[in-house]
Amino acid sequence: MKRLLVANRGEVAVRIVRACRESGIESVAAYSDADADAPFTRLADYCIRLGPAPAAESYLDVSRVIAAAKESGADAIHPGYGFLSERAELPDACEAAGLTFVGPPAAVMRALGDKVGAKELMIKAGVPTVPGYHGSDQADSTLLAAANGIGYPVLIKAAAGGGGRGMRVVSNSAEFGAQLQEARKEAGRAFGDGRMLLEKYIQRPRHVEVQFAADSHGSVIHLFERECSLQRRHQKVTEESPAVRLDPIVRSEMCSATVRAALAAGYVGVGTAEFLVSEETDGLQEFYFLEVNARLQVEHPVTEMCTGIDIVALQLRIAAGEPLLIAQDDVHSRGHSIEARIYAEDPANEFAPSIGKLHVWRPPAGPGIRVDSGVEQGSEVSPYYDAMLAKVIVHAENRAAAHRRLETALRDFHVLGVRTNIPYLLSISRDPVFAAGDFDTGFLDRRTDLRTESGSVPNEVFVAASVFGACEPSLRKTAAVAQAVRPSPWAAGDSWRNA
Amino acid sequence: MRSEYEILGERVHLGAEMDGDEWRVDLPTGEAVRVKLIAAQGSVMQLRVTSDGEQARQFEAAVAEVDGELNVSFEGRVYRFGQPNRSEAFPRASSSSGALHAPMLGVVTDVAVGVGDRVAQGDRILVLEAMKVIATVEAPFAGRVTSLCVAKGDRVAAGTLVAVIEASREEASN
Repeated sequence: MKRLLVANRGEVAVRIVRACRESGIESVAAYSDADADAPFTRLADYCIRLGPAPAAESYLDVSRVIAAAKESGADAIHPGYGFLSERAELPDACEAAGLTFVGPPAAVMRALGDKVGAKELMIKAGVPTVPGYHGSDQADSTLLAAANGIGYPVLIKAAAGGGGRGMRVVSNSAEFGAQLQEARKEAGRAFGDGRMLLEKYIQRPRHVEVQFAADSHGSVIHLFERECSLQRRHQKVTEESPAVRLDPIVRSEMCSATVRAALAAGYVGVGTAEFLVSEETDGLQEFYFLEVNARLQVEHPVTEMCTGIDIVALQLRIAAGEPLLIAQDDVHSRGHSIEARIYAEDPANEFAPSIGKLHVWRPPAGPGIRVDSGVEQGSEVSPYYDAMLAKVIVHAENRAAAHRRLETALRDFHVLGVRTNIPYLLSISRDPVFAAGDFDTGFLDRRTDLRTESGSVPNEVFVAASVFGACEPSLRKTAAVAQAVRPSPWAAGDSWRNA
Repeated sequence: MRSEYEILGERVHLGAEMDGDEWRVDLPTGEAVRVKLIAAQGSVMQLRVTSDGEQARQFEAAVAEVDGELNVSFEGRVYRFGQPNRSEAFPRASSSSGALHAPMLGVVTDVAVGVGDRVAQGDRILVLEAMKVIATVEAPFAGRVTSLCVAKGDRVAAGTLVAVIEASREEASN
C-alpha cells in the first residue's frame, strides 16, 4: 500500500489522512462539490473530485469511487464509517479492480450483514443471543413451554407485527395463558394474523460493544468495551470506556465471546461486536449479541484513549497483510474516556438540522482533551450530509475526573453561526443520574427535560455583547494589537504541553 | 451609544462608553461596571470586569452577528440578542392560505406534483431533506396547484415559499 484513497468526508477523512501520513502512505481525498474546500480535501497529499454534492452521486457511488482511485493512482481504499463502509459491493469492486480494501472481506461482510445467519453463527460459536421462539407450532402448550424455557419476563410479539400492537410483556407463567389470548386477539384484528413469537424481554437494556482486531494470519485480539447507552432515537450521543456499572465477570465473558465471534466469522480487519446488557430482577447482568459492525466506528477514539492503540493505523497494517504485533496480554485499558458528539442541530427545536457558516469555531484544548473535527472557522455547514461536526474526547484517571473534564471542555467550546447540541451535552453531563452512571438506552428519550435551557442571562453575556456592539468594527485591529503584545495562551492550541 | 435588543422575551438596552483604556457598561440590573478587553482572537474575547470594591473578574466569551442577531457564546451556551419588533415567524400553511412554506432548511429531493395538478388534502407536494432529516410538505386542503417555486435539487431556507395551492370551487364546496 503506497497511496490510499479516502472514500469518505469530514472528521473521519481527516483522521484517516493523518494515520496514512504516520504510516508512510500517501493519501488521496475524494471530495464532492460541497467539500471542494473542506479541511480534509486540503489536508490530503492529493485530491480528486468524485461528483456533485448529493451523496448518491458522490460518496455513495461505488463506480465513481473506484474510478477516482484508479485515476489518482491509488492502490487502496479506506471507506471510513457510514456511506459505503458496510456495502459488500465496495470490497467486491476493489478486488475486481486490483485495489486493497481496508476492511473485512466481502464474504464476511455479507455473512454478518444477514441478521438471521449471523445469529445462527453466533449460537454455534457459543455467543449468547437474545433467547426466543420463532416456531410454526402455535399451540398454547408449546408456546407456554417455550416461554418457561426462555425465562420471565417474556415478550409476546405478533409475527406480522409492528407498532407495538399485539405486544405483551408477561412476568410469570401463571399470567402467560391469558396474555397470549389477548395478544392473539389484538394481532388478529390489527394484522389478520394471530401467529405469535416469543422473545426474552430485556429489562433496562444497555448498549455495550467490544472492539476487536483480527489479522490475516489468524490472530484475534479484543480492545475492551465501550458503553453506548446514551442514544436519542437510536443515534448515539455520548460513548465511554470502560462501561459503567458492568460486572467484571460479564465484561470478561463479553470480551472472550467477541474473540470467538470474530474467529467463527473468519473476520479480517477491525470491527465491533454489539451487545445488549440486561439488568435482571435479581440484580445480575446478562449479555446478548446484537450484531457486528464490520467497519471503523465513530466512537473508536475512546478505546484509543484507554488502550493507547491507534485503531486506524492497525487497520492499515492489517490491510497490508501484516500481523497484529500486539498480543492480548499487551492490551490494557487505563483510566476512563468519554466522547461527546457535536451535532449541528437545535435541541430546543426538536433537534432540527442547522446549516450555515461557522463564524466562530474555537474547539477546546488542554491535557486529556482530543477534538476530532472536520470543520474549521469559516466552514460552510451544508445540508447534504450527516450533522456531526466534531467529537470531543476526554481522558482522565477515573470516570468522575473524565466527567469533570468533559464538562470543562464543553464550556470552553465556542461555536457561532450554526446551532449545536453543546448546551444539550452540557445538561446531560451535569445531570446527577448521568454522573452516577445509572442509565439505560431509554434514558435520553425519557429525559426530554434535558433539551430545554433554563435560567436567566448572566451578566458576563451582557458585558460581552455591550463591548462587542460598541467596538465591533475595530475589534479585529484590537485583536491584532493584543496578539502582538502577548500571545494568547489558547491561540497556540496545545503546543505548550510539548514545551 | 445604546441599542435596544430582545432576549428571552425581554427588552434590554446594551451599550458601552469608552473611558480611557476601559469600557463603562451599564448592566440591565442598573449596576455599572468597568470592562477591559484584555485579549481577542477574532471574535473570541477575554474581558476583565471590575465593579466597585470588588476583585476584578476575568472571563472569555465569543460574539458574532448571525442572521441579524447578536450571538454570544459563554460557558457552553449561546445567547441570542434579536432586534425588537423583527418578525421571526414565517407564515405556515393553514386552511385559510394555500401558500406552502418549507418547514425547515434543506434540499428538495422530490417534487410530487406539477402546476395545474389537482390534489387532495394530505397529498404529498414535495420532500425536503437536510442532514438525513426528511420533511414532507403536504396539501393543507383539496385544491389545485397554481404555482411551484422550487425544483428538485434546489436548496431552500426555512420559511421559503415552495408552492401555492388554490382551493378549487368544487372542493371548497364539499
